[in-house]
Amino acid sequence: MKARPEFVSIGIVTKPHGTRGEIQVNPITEELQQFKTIKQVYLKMSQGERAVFTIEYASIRNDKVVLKLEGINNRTDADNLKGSLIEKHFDLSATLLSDEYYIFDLIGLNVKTADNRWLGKITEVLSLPANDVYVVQNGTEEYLIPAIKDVIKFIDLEAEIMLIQPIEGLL
Amino acid sequence: MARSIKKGPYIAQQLVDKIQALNNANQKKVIKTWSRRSTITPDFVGHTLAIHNGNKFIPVFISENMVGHKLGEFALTRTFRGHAGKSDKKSKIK
Repeated sequence: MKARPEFVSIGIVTKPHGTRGEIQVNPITEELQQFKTIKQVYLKMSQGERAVFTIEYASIRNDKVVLKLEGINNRTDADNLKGSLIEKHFDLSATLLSDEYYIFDLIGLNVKTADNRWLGKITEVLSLPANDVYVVQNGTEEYLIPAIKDVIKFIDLEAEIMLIQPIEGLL
Repeated sequence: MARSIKKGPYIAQQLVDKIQALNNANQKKVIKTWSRRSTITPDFVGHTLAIHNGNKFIPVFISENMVGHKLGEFALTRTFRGHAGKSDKKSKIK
């Protein structure tokens, strides 16, 4: 099994908001409410270094988040953070629902059919309105596998294997 | 302007024929289609259609709450590759 990451990205700073040092964040997480509960975040600057900041307050407006970080009190300081990735410590104790997987766990899994034919590795997960689609590549060929129970039969993250039962016409 | 109710929903005839053939034979098979403008009817539910997005055929499993929508709504034509770094996004098997 792949090692779990120490940090996960939850947003990206898009621009300053107002004149008091607030920043507008484009969230890259499904759980927007976590911005209100997290106390500390890590900002990964474009040069790669991480700085820790305490969140004073957060407000969620439609699909955007406005954050006020401690120590950032004017627009110029906020402007310097533009483009930074907002990260948090990955919560190892977080539980997933059944049939739910972190995308970073799925990337790189070997995909095999029930008759033991190796299709390739998952390189990308497309989040589409109806169902997710796993892009499986093996160098020469690419397969799109829908994330539905009729097709995905078994996932073993330890062995990094996904077993599928392709419907006729899928491959 | 909305489509006239008198006409009923538009569905490509070749798609209707294929779905009906599968339903009659009680079979499951992926049907490739370019007809993004076809409306999803209750007959489609439970089938997987490979809908063309201009580049690839995206496999889409048709569920009840998709009835009345067009096929093209579920095979997006633009893909956002996302940001660098690992996010805490999850994938659910439906």
